[in-house]
Amino acid sequence: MKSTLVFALSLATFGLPAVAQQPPRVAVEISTPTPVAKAGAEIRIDVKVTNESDGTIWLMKALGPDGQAESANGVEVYDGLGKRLPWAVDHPMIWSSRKGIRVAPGKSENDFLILSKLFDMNAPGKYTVIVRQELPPMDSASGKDTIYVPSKPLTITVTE
Amino acid sequence: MCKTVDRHLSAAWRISSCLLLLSGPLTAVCHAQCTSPPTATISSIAPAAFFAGAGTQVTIIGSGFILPGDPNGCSTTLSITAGTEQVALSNVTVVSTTEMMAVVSPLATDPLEGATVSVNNPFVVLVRSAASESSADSSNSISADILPVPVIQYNGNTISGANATMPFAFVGQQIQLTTNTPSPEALSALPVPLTFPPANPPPGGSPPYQWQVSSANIGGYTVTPPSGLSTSSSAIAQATALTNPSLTTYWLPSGGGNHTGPITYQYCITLPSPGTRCSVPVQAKFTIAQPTDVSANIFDESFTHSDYPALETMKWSISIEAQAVSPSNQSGTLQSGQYQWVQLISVDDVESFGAKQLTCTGGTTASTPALDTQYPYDTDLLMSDAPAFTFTSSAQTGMNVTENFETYLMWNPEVSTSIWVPLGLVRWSAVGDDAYNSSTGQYTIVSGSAPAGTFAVVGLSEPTWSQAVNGPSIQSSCH
Repeated sequence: MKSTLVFALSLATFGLPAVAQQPPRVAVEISTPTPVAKAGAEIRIDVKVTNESDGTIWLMKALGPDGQAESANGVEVYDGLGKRLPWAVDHPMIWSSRKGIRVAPGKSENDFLILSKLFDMNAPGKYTVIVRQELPPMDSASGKDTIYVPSKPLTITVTE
Repeated sequence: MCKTVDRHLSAAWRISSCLLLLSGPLTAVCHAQCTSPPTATISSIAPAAFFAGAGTQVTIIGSGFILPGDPNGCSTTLSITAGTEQVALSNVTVVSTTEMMAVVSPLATDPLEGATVSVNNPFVVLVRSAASESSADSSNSISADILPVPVIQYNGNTISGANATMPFAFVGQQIQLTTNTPSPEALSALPVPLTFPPANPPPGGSPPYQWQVSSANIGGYTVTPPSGLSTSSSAIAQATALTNPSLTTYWLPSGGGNHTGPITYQYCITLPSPGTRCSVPVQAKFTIAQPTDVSANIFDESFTHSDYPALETMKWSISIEAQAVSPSNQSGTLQSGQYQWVQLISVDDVESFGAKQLTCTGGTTASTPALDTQYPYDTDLLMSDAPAFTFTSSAQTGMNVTENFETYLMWNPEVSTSIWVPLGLVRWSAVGDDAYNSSTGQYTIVSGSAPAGTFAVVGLSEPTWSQAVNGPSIQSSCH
């Protein structure tokens, strides 16, 4: 409950992306094979996006191998105090192509990202992760606005 | 001097102006009979090889040739035999006592074979006591060659010549043609040994084998690796080799529908004199089938930026849905084939400003594009792309992006041996300039535009590249 409250406060503090909000047509689930990780270890986040609509939807996905889920997801990490971590990436993130892929009703698309490459999570403690799946304009009701569908928060504990 | 002649007058006899007497024994009154002509000899003929199905002007050098109008009624005859066939001659002219000219016209069906060229000065041997006479001559001969008319074959069928049927093929389908061109060994074994001219003749010369393929074509198209992701990806298009005795080619789409692909072939041989001579070109025509009504609906073109907390992203989107009607085969059965997309990046310029500056030009140009990440980009007739360039507000204060894309719609007829061929091309761009506004604390778009794709279908070449731009998510250096 505490972490949920902290997360809610965080959203209030930082606000949501300045994009139009549409009813989610997809379910975004995230998980990690290492809910408890040692400091400095690689932390992987698996992202599963399920089409819960009646029609085929499009998702964007970085062209190339899996493991670049951040290309189509907003990724947020909060520390135990509810403070959002800054991105550790100080270089541009370039996806010359994010291919549109079709997901049939009831079907899912899986990808992953390496969270420890994007954020400094070396300090021991509990972290809350949320991923927001970007739906391209063609999937939004207006046909033009990007929407982000959030996952449920995921807690990861980093130990010494 | 007039005497009785045999009823079976030989055609070789040259008895001029004989007057037949109708009373008594058969008697002819003759003005002049050739009885003692000079001996005709032949020392050379040039050229010494004749292409079947065509007339070859030849010059014969020798001696004892008799000019027309000889007062003694003598004349020189020329004959060329190949096996049991008398080769057709025309315009036989004695130019001088040492030179004759003629046009030699072997039958179009004549194979590769030797021939004998003979000159003859026939004369009459008079026999006083009998009712018959005999003839004699003093001929001389020399060898020559007959070379066959080129024949083009496809799948074991002759597709050139008068009775040939027009073969059918799809664009992208491998076409392998063979010919009856004699081998070098067969040429050297002829009575007058022949050779082929050099494969790389001097300027103005003729190569041994010459093909002409009139409609758009290609000799091969190789993508390495054949699919997937590789930074060393490459695609090479080979021109059709036109100087071999056989031909391997693939038709490329041309125009809007089924069309005709003429192919001509001839071969050339080298003679001591007058040098290289070539057969008449023979032609085959293909009916070439390709997808028709190719068009593309380009939609969802957008350019936006999102000031996601602590991240700024410029992004573009484009979707392309192509339409095409697959062709039918000769039996009218639909040949659906397969469709796919291949995307190249011809301009790949990215520049970021701030603490972490980065300037990338990608090493690509319009003439040396790179594969966009993987081959193929997508399958089927629908594709979508949404380039995105994200940077963190702590490190970059702005970004310029210019990315030009070439997105090819490809088709493969899916026959036994076939390649992908281009049906259409969409050119589009991701161009934008984004900067941090310190007064508002936000990023703003300085300039930029949606992709504005344009579709073209005519005159496309195979997409080629020698590298791939594989977009790792984090760019600490240029591609």
